[in-house]
Amino acid sequence: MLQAALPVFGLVAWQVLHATTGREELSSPAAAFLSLVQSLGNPRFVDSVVFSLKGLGLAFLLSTVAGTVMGVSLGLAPAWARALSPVLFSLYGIPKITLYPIFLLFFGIDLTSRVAFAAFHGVFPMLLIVMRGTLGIQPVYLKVARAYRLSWWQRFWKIVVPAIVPSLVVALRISFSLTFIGLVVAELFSSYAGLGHELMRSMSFFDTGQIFALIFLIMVIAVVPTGVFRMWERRLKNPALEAVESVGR
Amino acid sequence: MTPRSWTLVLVAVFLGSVEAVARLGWVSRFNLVPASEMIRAAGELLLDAEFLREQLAPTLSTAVLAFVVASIAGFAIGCLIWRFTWLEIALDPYLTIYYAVPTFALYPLLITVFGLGMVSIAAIGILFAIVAVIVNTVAGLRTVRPVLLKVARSFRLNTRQTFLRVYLPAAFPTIFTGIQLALVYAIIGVLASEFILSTRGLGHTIAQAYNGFKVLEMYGGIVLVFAITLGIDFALGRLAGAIMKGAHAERAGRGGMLNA
Repeated sequence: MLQAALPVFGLVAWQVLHATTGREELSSPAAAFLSLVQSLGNPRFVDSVVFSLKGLGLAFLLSTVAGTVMGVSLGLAPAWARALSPVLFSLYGIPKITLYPIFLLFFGIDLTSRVAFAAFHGVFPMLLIVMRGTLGIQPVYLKVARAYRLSWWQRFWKIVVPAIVPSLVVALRISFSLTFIGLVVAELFSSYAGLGHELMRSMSFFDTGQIFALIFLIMVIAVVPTGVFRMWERRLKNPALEAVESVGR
Repeated sequence: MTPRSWTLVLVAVFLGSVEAVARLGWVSRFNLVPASEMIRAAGELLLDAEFLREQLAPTLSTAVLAFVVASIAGFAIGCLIWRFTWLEIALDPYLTIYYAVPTFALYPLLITVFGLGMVSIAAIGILFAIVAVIVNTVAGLRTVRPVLLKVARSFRLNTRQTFLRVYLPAAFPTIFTGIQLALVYAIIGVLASEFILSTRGLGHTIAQAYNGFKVLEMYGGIVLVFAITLGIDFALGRLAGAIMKGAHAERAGRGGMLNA
């Protein structure tokens, strides 16, 4: 029950601010809700949402695949991992948005540059967490792989991935958030469609109701998959559930 | 060779390939310039008094402002959450998912309310940085070892003394981690907001250079962003190392006194 306090308090405070200051740009909860409902009936708005979701799906797929493959490769080659780690950690910590113009120069202003940038923005946690997970695999597993003369792909699918599933799920969650943040920021800077573009458009029209509607949608898109990944993490951490699952197999 | 020297070799190879690809004309000069020219462009920006005054100074001062506000407010809120269980129950789910939501989506809203300028940019920096401090403050205070509290009780410390002399020093390393993150997040928040839409600042310089096809200046600005963030990162790492070492030395010193 207490968890509902923050949203309720926020809505009440918003309504009070709207009523007392009378400032047009604050909109009101009711107006924002109406705007959301109206927007969802507007084909151009829906197209923009679909446009962003498509970019998000592509970018997340790209950063997941690239991050896992690179992370496992580095994890299986500790010398390279040691040499590259400082560079990767530094890249993870810098404001990557300032690199977006480089993507624009090389890929143009269509979907490609935004997907490439969002994937780049999200790939680092994937890569680093998978790399650490792979480095931490018990050496005896890899010895077994050598004894069976498994190929690289066999080693990847049969030994490494099952061994690192728990860290893989954490990596998926963080990577998803950063990919989405990268996409939204890229759309805010330059785009002809998408949620970020709609935000900037509504801002230039001082259409605050629409801005609130968009922020709400962005929060939903960010939070729902995060919640799913967290549930998956909890299941993995709960040995009782794991035991039940293994019996089921 | 040590791993560190291999790292330097890899970085040198990367910069060398950028230099070669650009010099050999494999990539148009409108897309890429040689690495040496990027670094020279960054140097020229640093020597340009007008750039320092009109662009770099606003960026750094806004980032510092956001960092200070986020650290103080974040610490205070963290203490309140730790102190009042109902507040923790009410806020915990939102704190855990906070960084999953793109804070920058609020920037257009802030601009409509506060206008285009320092307030909106600093607000994004604060919003981006504050939760790192809150979360680390709560975590640090909550994981103080019970034996320390027992000592405080046996010395009959009052609440204020217990907080200042036991809780705070014991939680400090964790809180400091949060403060370290806050500085990095404040800089990212400010640079990104300036980049998206603003009238001045380093982020604005890069965006303007891109929009005006001034590729050299754009790369110079990006090199500056790298240099500033890596420099701060390095300094913070050193500071954290010194503080942790100090804490250990102090603990060891006290241990020695007890033995004597």
